[in-house]
Amino acid sequence: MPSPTPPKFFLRFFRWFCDPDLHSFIEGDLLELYGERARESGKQKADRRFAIDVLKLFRPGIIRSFQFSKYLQNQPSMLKNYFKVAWRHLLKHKFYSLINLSGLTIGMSCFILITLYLQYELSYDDHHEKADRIYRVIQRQEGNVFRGTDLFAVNPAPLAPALKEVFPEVEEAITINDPRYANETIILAYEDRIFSPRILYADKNIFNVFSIPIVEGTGGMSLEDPNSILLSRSLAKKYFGEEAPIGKSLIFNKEKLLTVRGIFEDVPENQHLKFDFILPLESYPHYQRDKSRWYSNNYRTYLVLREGHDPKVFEEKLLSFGKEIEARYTGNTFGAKLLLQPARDIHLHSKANFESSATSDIRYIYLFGSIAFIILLLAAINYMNLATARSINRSKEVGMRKVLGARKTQLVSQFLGEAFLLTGISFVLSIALVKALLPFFNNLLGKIIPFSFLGNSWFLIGMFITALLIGGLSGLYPALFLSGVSPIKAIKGRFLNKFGQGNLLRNALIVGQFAAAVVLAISSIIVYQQLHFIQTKKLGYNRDQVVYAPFYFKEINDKYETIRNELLTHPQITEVALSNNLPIDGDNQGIVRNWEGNDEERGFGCYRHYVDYRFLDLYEIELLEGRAFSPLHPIDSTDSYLLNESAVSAIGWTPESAIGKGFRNGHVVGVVKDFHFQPMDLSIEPMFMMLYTAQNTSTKYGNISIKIGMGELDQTLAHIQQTFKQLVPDIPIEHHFLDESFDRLYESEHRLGQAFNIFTLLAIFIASVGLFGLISHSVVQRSKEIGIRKVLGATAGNIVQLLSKDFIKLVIMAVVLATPIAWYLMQKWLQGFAYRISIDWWVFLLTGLVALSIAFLTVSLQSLKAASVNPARTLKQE
Amino acid sequence: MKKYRLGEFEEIVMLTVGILYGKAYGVSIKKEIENRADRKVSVGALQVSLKRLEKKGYLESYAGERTEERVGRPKLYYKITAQGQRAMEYNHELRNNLWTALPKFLTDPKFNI
Repeated sequence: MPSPTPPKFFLRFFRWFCDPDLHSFIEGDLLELYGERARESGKQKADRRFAIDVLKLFRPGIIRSFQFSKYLQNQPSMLKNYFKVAWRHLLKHKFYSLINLSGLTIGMSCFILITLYLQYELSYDDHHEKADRIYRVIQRQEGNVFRGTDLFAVNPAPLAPALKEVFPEVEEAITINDPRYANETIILAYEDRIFSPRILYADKNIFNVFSIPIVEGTGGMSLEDPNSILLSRSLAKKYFGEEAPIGKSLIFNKEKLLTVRGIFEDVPENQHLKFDFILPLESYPHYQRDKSRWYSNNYRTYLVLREGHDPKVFEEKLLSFGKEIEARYTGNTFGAKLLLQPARDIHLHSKANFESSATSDIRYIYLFGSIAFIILLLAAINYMNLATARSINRSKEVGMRKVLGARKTQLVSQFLGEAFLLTGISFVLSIALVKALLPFFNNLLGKIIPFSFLGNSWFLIGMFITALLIGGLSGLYPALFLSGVSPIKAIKGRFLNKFGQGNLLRNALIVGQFAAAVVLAISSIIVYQQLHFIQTKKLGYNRDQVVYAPFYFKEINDKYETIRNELLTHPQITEVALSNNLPIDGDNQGIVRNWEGNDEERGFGCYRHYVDYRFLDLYEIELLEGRAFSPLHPIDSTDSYLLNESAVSAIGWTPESAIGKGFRNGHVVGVVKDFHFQPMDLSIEPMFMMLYTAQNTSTKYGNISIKIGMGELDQTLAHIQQTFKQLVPDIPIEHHFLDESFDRLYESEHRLGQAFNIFTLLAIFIASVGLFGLISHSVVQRSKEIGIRKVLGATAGNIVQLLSKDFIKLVIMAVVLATPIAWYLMQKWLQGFAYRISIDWWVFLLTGLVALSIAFLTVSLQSLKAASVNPARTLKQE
Repeated sequence: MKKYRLGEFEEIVMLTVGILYGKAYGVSIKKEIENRADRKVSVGALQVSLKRLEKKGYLESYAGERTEERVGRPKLYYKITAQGQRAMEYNHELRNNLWTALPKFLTDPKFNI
């Protein structure tokens, strides 16, 4: 068997730069290590390590002293001369250098920032040792579409043990629970330090699945004892400061004494499960009851597959296993298909109900990836265009070099070298810029992306290679173009006609550049419009001036009337209402089969809201028919239903005919107008309301909504806090503004929208800077022509027109090209929303006009300047 | 005594070369350090440090055999020079002195700080 050979490129690179005295010895070391690694962990890994080693060897001490004489066959001064000329050129034409440098630097900075963001988003749950084998089990409940999907990220408690028992390929399976309202239900106290950290109930094998380093004490073992608690490092610090945490006692929800048994490292931000402390699953209040019940669909199941097992095959087995569960299942039918979901895919690909934390969308990754690419391309094109256009100024130099015997390869390498020099400078600049801008970028996106590519050699290498590619690509065309002309023409400076050869390519590139910028601009306007539309759409209820306080303890419900009366004593508080859900987060849904004339043949998913007498008034929800709940009708507490329009039409009634009809175990007394109780990407679904009473709701959890007046906001809020503090002193209650919470539903879209706008602006800026450079060049080039035209009687207007015409034509072409592309892309994007704007034609017109005027402004400023110069000055200079 | 200055990594390299007496070349030194100190050592960092130590006169090198796994490239063996030995001893002594000068309670297990 032939032994594997290391990557040629890196080996050659190493031979090239290494000190010849050391070369054979180090190469021996490298090859020895390579052979060993290839044997142990395969060629691919060995190749990668080899490349890293070589790049890490590229440092002073190992790099030989480059003697130009050896390198350039006795032309020691040649390379120095190239460098000197390039440097002089940069300095002499400060203006063009600045344009190139700023374009490239901005382009590369955007590219690096976006790549950092993408890398971060893609790194979710990547840090677990078994990351590639961890799967989450989720369910597809066919026919039960809830919040737009029939996938559910929950499972019955006995599932994980059963999977582990039945399937040998399951290395480990665990059950965990992170109660949805966890971060608020929990009160964890130590002496006077009371916080509400994020909770996780986990079985003891969690550490066999996720890599959560234990820094102190024990991990899995201590989860066998129901009275133990594991804290994250920073939470422990919050409670105990510098004291040793192990063995200390915390009070959980004011009733249970827990002993700290272990401290684990804070879970990284880029992990979909987020928690600050772990309690044993055994201590979860319902677990003892649930652990043998197959309809306790309330837990999360994660498993690790043994190495070498195909998840697809295992998924097939799970399908038939579902039927087995069915057999053991008593009571309701289970009816769910079990599916596997790689843990690493959850953040970007999962759309299931009841996610543990907000997930993102792979489409954003593609979107930002393409923006990064486009911006970089725009910057590269700038360089390319300007370099070819300006090559005429270098023609004499090229001619002279050719006459003196320069070979084509030498010239190519000279010009390529210049491109590399420039990209190299902007690469360094942009890394500094990224470092400076990253905090703002993080702020903008609400992320904590670390500036870590110094620790991550792959990232740095990737970026470096990108910079080289940009340099190479943008320098290649000018280099080939310049070195290819015949020396006589070159010296005469006549190898370019008015606009030069390469005109076509250059024009095409300008069109491409502007088209890309216009597409981005149109998209960002439409994205903005859609987000604005969502936030201001008539919801069917009034969310302004509403403060709400969620609660999680029965005491509050018991004292509700007292609290309400006390709140209403303040003149600015006009109404107080009680409900289980707020209008922004309807999430309680079930199938209804029982209504007059149906005989349980048909069913439809229907959301439930439990509200008190004042709810409709407070939120100004319109009643179409019938009446609202009222204390005057005692029957309301057991028998009355309010339906929304969608529910009425799902049954096949009209609002008028619905009144008095039998529905579930009661009767319909009123029909309300449809209002949005879910995010805008979902349409309004059927919903009924019942009176909020102890019989039909869990009174532990609910929301108190408070309508407040316009003035004296501070005092009003202080009164609200004071009331709670006075009446339920030992329960922390927070109040929120409903409109703020509503906006938060769209926060990530909003943030990404903003980032999108910024990058769009930068793209337009880069494109305009390029155009500006080109036009300035063409003005300088044609200064004599302009002079003669003026002498012969041309007006300034004529000259502006002459100079602008060509460029403006190109920009118009770009706008025409961009319009259908942008329309198509945006049409696709908007389809993801249940409620969306229609794309207005004026957006295209406006963007086109703006693009044109930016271009026109850029062009005409320069040409005006040229037109106003005294022709005598331009004509006499040679 | 400025002339005996050794960096932390340099000292580790010197000691390792001593431990591997007669068998110290690039790969073996790298592995030895990685095993003992449980840290990753890049070829580059090691070579730079070896070269610097050689320049300081603490190490000297000589070409060794060519083996098949090295595709015929010779090994470069290192050994400690007399000067190098003095530098190591000096460092060792310096540390010892510093340790003995440390207040006693800092090293006493009773005072857990």
